[in-house]
Amino acid sequence: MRKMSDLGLFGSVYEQLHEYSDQFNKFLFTIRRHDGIQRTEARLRLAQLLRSVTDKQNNSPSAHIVRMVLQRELPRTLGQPVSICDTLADALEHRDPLPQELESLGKISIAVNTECYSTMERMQGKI
Amino acid sequence: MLQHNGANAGKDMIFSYYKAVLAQARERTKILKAKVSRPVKEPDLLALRQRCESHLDVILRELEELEKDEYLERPEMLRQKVSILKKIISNISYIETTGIAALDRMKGDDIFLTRLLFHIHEEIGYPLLPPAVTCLSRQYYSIYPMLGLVQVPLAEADSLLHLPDLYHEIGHPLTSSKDNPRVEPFTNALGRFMEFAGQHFETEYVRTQRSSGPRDYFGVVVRQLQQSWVIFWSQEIFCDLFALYTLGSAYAWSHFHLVAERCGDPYRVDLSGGSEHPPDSARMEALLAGLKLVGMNQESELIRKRWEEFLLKLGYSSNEMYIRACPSSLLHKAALCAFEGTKGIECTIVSSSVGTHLVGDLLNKAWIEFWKSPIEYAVWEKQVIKNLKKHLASSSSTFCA
Repeated sequence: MRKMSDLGLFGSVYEQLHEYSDQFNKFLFTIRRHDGIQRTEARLRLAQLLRSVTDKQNNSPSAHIVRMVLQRELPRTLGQPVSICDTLADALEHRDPLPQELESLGKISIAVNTECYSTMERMQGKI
Repeated sequence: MLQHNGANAGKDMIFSYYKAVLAQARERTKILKAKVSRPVKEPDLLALRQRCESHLDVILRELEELEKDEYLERPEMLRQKVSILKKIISNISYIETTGIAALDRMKGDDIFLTRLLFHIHEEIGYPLLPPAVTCLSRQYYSIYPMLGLVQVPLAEADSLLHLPDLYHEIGHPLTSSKDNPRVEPFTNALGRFMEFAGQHFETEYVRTQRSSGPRDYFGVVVRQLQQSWVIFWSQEIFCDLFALYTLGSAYAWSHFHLVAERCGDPYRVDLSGGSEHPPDSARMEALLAGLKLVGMNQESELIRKRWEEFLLKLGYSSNEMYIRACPSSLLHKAALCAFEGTKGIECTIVSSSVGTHLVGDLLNKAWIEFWKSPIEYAVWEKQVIKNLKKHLASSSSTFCA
């Protein structure tokens, strides 16, 4: 039997994840398809998002949760620990991402999207 | 242009299929919007209706953007496009089966409990909009934070002993609140506790890797516990403690009641991936620590005695995994952080003295009456609920418990 407030908990976790996921997707798409100022702005914002997760001073529940999700998912897909985010952020702060970096960013996006999606599934009692 | 051979015809078909799925999703969203666009039965439901409408509008915008996104039309982007579409379709289903279903069904008991929760939010100085309540739950109490909707089982409007769980449920929107200076002290306190819990298990992990025992196994266990604590358990315990600090010992009794009535081994540690709830004994230990923090030592001791009697009589006892998963230091830290967080958002902290909270005092009194005479309690409860419903239906009547 599901205990009380599974839904409340998943709902909160979803809220805590989906904004990060939506913003990450938005900036990544912009980097991929635009040039000039739009692209520069997007990569700097994406760098900020990556830093928000790796910054130990950032105390928001969202940051902690995203950090845990990436700690669990990233090593399998990238073969690297969470510090890949710091490396990517370093790169994005100075230049456009290289193809392999774009691929890594795509995998981060999929990891967080998937967690969002499976949290929604849990809310709906499908898993 | 794709040539019409077997492989490309297949690709065309899949692209056409997903275009049609997107169009269907848009139509369904519009149908739901039409269902919501009716007068509400009660002013307290306006917020729920507005939230449903806002969510539907967001969904329509997302579908439109997805449809127009030329970049995502590329064959290599199909997987990413579909993952976004699936997320949107999940959201549609979520709104349809929760908020809109609740609005469609609103009856007397739903309205009574909605008004009750409104009173609770006033009494404790809850900083967010009070949720609406629906008796559509097929399991137990739950909340949809995105919609501001609490679900309870059908007969909860005629019972007092589990109603303290409403206070737990309204704790959840606090944990996910953003950009609200009034609520920040609470989310900051939660963040501090998450950091503490994460660090505790990081240290544990290093220790297990240096030990001579089965390192791989315990390494996996500790990582699992770290994930569970940071993502899920911290939030659950914070909601427990928020309920305790704003309502009082009635919440601890309600937890006792839920465990004794319905749950299994309170020391069982669920190590399946992403286990959502900490062991019930850990929750009780945190609650008892919390009662002492607010100076309710007598109440804490009384509940502890009853809890230990329950554990003894049913043959439940602690185990090594439980001690590893839920060290007392972590539970006491949770109690302290949640206390700081609840004070920080200026909610009314409970005390031993009887106050002027209609609902809070009644729920605490219910448990006193129950333990005074568990068999005869039902008679008292029936009359009190009748009076309460009459009082909430008409603000001019005086409530008498």
